Amino acid sequence: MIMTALHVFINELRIMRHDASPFVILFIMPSLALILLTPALGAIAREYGQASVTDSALSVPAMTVMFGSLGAAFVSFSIVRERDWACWSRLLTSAHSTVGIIGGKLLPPMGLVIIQQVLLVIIGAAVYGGLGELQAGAYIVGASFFAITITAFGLVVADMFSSLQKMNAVIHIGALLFASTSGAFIPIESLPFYVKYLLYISPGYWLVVYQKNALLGTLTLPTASISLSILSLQAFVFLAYARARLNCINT
Amino acid sequence: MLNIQQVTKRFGEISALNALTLHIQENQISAILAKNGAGKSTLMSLIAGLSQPCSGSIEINGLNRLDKKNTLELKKHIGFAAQNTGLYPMLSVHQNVYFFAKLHGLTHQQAKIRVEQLLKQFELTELTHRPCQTLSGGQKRRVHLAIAVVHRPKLLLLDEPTLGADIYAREAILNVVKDIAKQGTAVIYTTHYLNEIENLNAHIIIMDKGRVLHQASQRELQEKHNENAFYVDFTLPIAEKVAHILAHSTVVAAQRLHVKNHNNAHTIEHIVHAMGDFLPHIQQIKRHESSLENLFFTLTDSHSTAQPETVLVKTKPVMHPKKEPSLL
Repeated sequence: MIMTALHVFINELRIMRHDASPFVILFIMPSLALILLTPALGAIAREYGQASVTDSALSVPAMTVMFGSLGAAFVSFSIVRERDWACWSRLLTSAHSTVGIIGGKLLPPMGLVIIQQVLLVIIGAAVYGGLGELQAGAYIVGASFFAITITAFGLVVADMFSSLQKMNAVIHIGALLFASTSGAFIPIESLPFYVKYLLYISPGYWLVVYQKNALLGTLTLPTASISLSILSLQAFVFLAYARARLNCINT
Repeated sequence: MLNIQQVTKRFGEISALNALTLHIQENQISAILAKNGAGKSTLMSLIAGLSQPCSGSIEINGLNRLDKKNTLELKKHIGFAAQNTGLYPMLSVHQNVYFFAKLHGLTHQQAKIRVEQLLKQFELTELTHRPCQTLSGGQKRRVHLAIAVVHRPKLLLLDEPTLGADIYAREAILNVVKDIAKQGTAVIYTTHYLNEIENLNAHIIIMDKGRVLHQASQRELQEKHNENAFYVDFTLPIAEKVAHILAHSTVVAAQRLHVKNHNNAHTIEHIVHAMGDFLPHIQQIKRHESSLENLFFTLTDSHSTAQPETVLVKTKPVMHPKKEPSLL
């Protein structure tokens, strides 16, 4: 399984060398958005009485949840693309482990999402400061858990939608929903009451709760445990679904 | 090598395979001949393990295909080239073949040697570093096939492997398939090009409506179903009058006689000689032939528009007298 995952992972990297879109969407777009929108997000937060939170501690999680969610698109895309190229059946009949194939497919986007979150915190700190209390290790752990959850969600989307157009539409709406229900862009107090109940099933919300605290140096063990447990549970559900549905061959 | 018993596969209300039973031996090229929608690709997919039958059993090299614990072992035995060429377009020919060699568990050194060997065998050496998206249809087909045999499978499934290939690429693919079979691999080959089956001298499996109708060598099938007969065409409507001269003859039209050649009793010379005074009124003598194509049409209850006949004797047009000859 590990060897299969490794070979698929290397192959994915080879393919990515010919396609710059993940780098543009996951790195350049959120970096620009972070630089341009941080003052505005800070102003909105202060309007709602969140004066103690620095601008960077608001905008960095907002950008990570919004653009990190697009990591799911790259997983779905890599699977739908295999079907378009007629390589999926070949992969299933060649590889010794279907779980290995899925693992190999998940690793590159997962890595990109983690790198993205690290890059954004560096840019946020450099341009707007206010991250002096950053719990760096905890921040990377949170980024990793979110990367696993969101890429696993990409597998579910790949199973549900066979065309790239449908898949893209769903992923972009999903990213928007995750971001808007995370409380990062708009203070939770300002959201309609029913959205407040949806927050608790959004991976975005749990990422923002975790990362905001990690950025401000206020992350406690109970807060970290709850956020990471919920993200893990969601990842488990998505992976189990993908394992059952994408496993068209007996392995 | 492959033993399929009573396999049924349904897609909702549609029945793709109906209690299909099939046996394939080692060192044999078996060609599946069927109309579109007869279940060829479904059968290939089941053998490859890409889908599960609703009922029945599939045994490959003594291993039950449907038993999960055999899956890994069976992957080593089966090579599958689906109808559509499965290649990574932006990767080079070498990278494509090498990747699948590694997935099959070959070490770096083994994969390197095997890829070089295959590129040579499939005449792709000059294209080694070319991205697959820049290759022609025939070249892509060859890479596709090379990947299917990279792990030296004992059973090779080829679903229309020459689709879109030009005649040179087709010839190259057929030669490689013959070489692979000579090395002991059982090949299951589906195609709509009947001349390929004749070229491969393949064992023929005729499928229709999800069942195997006939399974035999080309010679056996033709011997069994070949109607050895002649057609004698006249310039005048005299078939009825002439019918009694030749044994086993039937009038099929006023100017046409069908002569069954029981135990090769008739030869052209015999027919010509027996005609006697009617000889000047013979327009032509044709042999009725059972080509693979006609055989297929006959066995699948379809109708061929082609005339299964070969003209053996053709006389010059005769000016007919207004009155029939007096001896008639």
